[in-house]
Amino acid sequence: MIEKLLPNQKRFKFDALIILMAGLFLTKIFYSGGTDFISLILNELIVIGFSYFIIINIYKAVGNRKITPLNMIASLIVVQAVFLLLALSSGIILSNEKLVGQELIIQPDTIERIIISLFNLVILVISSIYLLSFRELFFLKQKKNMKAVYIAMVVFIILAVFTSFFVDKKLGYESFSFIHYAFYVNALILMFINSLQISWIAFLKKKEKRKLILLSVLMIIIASFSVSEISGNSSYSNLMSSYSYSLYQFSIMINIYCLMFFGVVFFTTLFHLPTAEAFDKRTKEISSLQYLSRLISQAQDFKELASSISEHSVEIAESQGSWIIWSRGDGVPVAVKNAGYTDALKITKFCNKYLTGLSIKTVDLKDLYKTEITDEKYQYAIIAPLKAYGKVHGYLFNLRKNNVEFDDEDKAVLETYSDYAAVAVENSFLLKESIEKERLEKELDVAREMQRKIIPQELPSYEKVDISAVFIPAFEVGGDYYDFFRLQEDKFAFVIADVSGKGISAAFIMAELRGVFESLTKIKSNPKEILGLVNQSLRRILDSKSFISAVFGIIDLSENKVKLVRAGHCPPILLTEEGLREINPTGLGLGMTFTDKFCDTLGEAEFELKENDTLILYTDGITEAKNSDLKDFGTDALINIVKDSKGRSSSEIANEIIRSVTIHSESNPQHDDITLVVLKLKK
Amino acid sequence: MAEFNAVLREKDNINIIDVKGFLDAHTAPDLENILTGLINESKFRVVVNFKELDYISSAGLGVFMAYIEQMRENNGDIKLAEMKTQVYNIFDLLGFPILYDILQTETEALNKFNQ
Repeated sequence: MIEKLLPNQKRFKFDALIILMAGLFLTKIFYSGGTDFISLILNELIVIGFSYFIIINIYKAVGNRKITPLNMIASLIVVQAVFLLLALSSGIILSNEKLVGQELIIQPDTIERIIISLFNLVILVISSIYLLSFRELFFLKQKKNMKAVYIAMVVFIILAVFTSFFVDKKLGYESFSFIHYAFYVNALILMFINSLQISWIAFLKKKEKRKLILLSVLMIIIASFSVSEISGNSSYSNLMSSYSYSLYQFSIMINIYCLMFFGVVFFTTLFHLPTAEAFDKRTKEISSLQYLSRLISQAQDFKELASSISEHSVEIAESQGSWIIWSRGDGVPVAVKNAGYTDALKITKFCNKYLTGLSIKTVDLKDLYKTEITDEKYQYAIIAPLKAYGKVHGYLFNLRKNNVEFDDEDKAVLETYSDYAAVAVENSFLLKESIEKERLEKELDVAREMQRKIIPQELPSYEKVDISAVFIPAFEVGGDYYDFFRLQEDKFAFVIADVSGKGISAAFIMAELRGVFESLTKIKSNPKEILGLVNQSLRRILDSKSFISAVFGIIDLSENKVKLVRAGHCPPILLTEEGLREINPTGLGLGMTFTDKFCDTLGEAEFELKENDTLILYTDGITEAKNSDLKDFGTDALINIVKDSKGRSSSEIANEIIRSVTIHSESNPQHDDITLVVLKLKK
Repeated sequence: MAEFNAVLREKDNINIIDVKGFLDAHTAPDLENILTGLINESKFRVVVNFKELDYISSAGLGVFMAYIEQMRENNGDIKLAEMKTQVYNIFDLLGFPILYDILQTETEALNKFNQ
């Protein structure tokens, strides 16, 4: 199963490993070597050769994993314990008689050979794991180029291992043993040098360092036991050297390396321990700044951002509570971490006078408790402004319960932190603004479309009336509306209105207004009554700040009579042969009151419309059109134009008015809808 | 851009707001904040002095509509005083004088509360 799950290449390495191990195993069962020089050399070469490739393959199969030193050391302790157990049990593997008399060269039977071979294989694997683990630990976070030293060490270990048979007195090559010792000492020196080069200890957290000291003590104890057990004349040494001197020597050297390594680890860690806290703090700072730089580059939900800023500040300030106050907000703490909300409110209120300026401030909270009771007793507060581009977005609060005041270093750290945080905040603001802008533009598109559909697409045509209408919407949709409703063959109603407010809400009200007028004109024929009912029906959709100004009238073409009501709207202008006048009956804007007062104060104008008489309806978009000096176009200017329009058609009059308004406002952008309706009775 | 400014002062237990400049959709929230503050402090008797106000838009008118109703529900009122003609005309057009007290001088407005 597991093999199937492994990627092909790894499986291949496992296969190679198994073949190699089986090869060594079988070779050694059938070939035990002799005591002459050539056989000895041959035996050692076979074992070293196989071992080398086995180690390489183990490395390929399990190497290159992400490791943490502590986990690796913990598992090494287990391996070392297994090794110690094996070493102790080596006496049981060979029957006692074979070991009587230390001079004896063992002549084992086949079953024993198999057992010995297996035992040696296990030791080989264990030693390999050691070597590879040390390799990992050695190169972990290694900044210097130490590869040469490491390779030299491995070479000397191999040489020392290969020449180890010189030492055995039984074989009679003792005179050459100096060669072995020379390599051996060199290997030991290099091992020591390598052990000193460990560079990952400094990066551990304080907690981890404490753990590491415990682990290395444990390791040193087990390794010391092992070394004393396997060196010298022991059943282990007999068992191993009967198989191969090299392997025996290798296992010893690995154990010595282990002792040295963990001795160094133990002392190094011990010396690092006092500075561990400062190191931890720096690490935290750096990582939180990195975290913030990531935040800056990400599009972030504003709430989430505040929450992470607050949360991380607790770590770097070593505080027991934190929150943020936004300058644009209503002074209420947000993203409160590790503190009660009511406490945060009380403390914020107490610190209110410090919420100003660009510098970081520390506050002693002891005076707070003279007047307030909080759930938790905080001693000190530090308030860092979140400033970006000279603008303060808010303040970051951090609090300590313990009696440790915030010192200059805390200030410096928090200052840097809050500067970064502020940039993230600024970014998020900008992003939000641009999204909001886009949303508004979409909304305006919808509103414009609605308005375009509500306003009549084409004007009604009557034999006796010449009608013109001009509608120029403002960019933001101003809420202007006009319409005509045919009542009977020779009777029609007209309406012009201006909904207060802009955008989509104005467009909705407009739609409602149109519906109400449309239905009411079908069942009622008195303008006063209609407008009163319109006002009532708007009660549901108009909020307390909204209102509508409107002029509504009914023209009876059979009698040439007009009845007209005005609800707070610009009074229509009537141009007759006799002159010009404004039709100005009293009337409150729609939605200003829903009491009887609306109808009670609503006046009605009734007048005759003779041939060539012109009635002009308009919205304040015309009279309040502003020039660059913010001066209104004005009613007087409008009246003056109308005065001179006798004999002109309705469209000529409309064009003339719009032309003048355009000239007046010139480059100044149009802020409100412009609507103009001209009705002229034909001859 | 046209400026707007609103300043709060107090006289004979009545709060007076001096408004200045252009009151439109963009500046209306400034005035709303002051009025909300007064309501929160249960101060329902207010005079708004329009002496230095140059322009009011429908959004500005809406503010007065809404807040006068709120003040009246609490037995208070907002009296409007010292409007320039062009500003008065805008109020007048909509029929404000029918519903609300608009007075020539601040003193008259203050006295209105004591009647």
